[in-house]
Amino acid sequence: MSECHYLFKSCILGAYYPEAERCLRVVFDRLDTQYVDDPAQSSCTGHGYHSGIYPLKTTLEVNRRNFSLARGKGCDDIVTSCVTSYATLKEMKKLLKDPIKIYHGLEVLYEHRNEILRGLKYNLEGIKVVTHHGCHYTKIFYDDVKAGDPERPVLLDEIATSLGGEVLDYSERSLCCGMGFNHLLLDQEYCKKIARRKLESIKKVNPDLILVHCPGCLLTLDRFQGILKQEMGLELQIPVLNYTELIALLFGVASDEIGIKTHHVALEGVIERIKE
Amino acid sequence: MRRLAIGKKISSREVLEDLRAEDIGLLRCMQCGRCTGGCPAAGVFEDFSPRLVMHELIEGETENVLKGDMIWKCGQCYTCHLRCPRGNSPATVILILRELSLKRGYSKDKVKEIAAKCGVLMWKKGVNFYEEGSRELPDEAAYEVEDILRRSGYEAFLKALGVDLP
Ligand code: SF4
Ligand code: SF4
Repeated sequence: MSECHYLFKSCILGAYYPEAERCLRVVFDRLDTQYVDDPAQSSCTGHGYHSGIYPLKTTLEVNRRNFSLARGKGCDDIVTSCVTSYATLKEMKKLLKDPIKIYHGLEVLYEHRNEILRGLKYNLEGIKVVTHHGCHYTKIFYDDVKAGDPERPVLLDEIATSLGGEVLDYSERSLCCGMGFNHLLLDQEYCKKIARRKLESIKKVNPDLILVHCPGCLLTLDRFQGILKQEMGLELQIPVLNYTELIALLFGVASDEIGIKTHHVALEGVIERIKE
Repeated sequence: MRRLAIGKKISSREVLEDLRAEDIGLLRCMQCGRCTGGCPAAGVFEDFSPRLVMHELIEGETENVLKGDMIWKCGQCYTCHLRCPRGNSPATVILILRELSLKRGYSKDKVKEIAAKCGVLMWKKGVNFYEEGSRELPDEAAYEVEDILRRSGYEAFLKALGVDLP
């Protein structure tokens, strides 16, 4: 990884969970990790690309510009806060034969996991966690998964354990969260059925929180709990946290600064227990 | 034999000519069904299966696939891509087919609504999602992106879908 990362911001976080993204900057600052936050960086088109609304040529050209912006800022790697950006940029880099390197923010924090421990104000002792790694991180460029097996990635697990938490297994661990790209923006039948399968399997092991590293997974696993309750009477109420929010919280960043108001499922209860 | 049979069909040739088809084992599919076994969308939609998409392609029924609903039911989770024992990627093939289907003028109803949201936001603000006051590109950067969208054929793509640009 290079000295200075080009921070690649996510459309979903920007629109729906802006503080979750701000937390990545906060954590980088605490760890003295250098990054460039360039307002000129555009969307990678990823969500639309996988929905079928951008031809390959458009996605290639849009990201040719993003790659050259990163280089112009002196960065030879890009660190994304979204797993679909991660995979889309990797695919375009490959097709364009561009030398730039692409990482996900979680990989950077995974590398720094020991330094994170030194900055902790709170830890996860007594907290039961399940993890969900985003499909576009584990299943597309599967050889690049940093820890564990592509069928069983463990970056989030190892981080949660080192923070003192207990990681629980669940039967639908490798199932998609249900976001489904075009499905999310249309009738959502896929989203509801898959999110239900996933969340019911999680509910069986009764964790205190679901730990994710993908904006789409955060949105789906958090917001569909409300939709499933409203439409099917399902009582789930399992807090979902992005890894950036969790680490910022454990560093002592105030609850409203990690954006608890943007979450559908209330986080107050689990935060209180963490701070006990 | 199978390679020949596919090569004969112009529409399948277009699939194979896509840049993304270069290193996927599209023609090595042995119809084992492992992709479908792990496919979440196949569990939701009775008439959908990635194995079947591959079967139609191998049989040269590409045009039917392009006209039909099947390619729009995939959730793009890439489980099939990870698990295929022959290194094939139904998920990638489906993306290629989606683009081809729209190029032929089919499936407009499947994406018009999404393109009218995300595509137009990309055009105006350089992002796919936007809520009041959320992150958007500064003007100069937004013009650069708009220019790239226009030059890469995206304006024409949206027009063909019947999406009006502001
Ligand atoms: S695409 Fe792969 S997994 Fe699916 S049927 Fe063909 S060989 Fe089997
Ligand atoms: S990418 Fe599509 S076809 Fe492949 S497993 Fe996922 S939903 Fe099924």
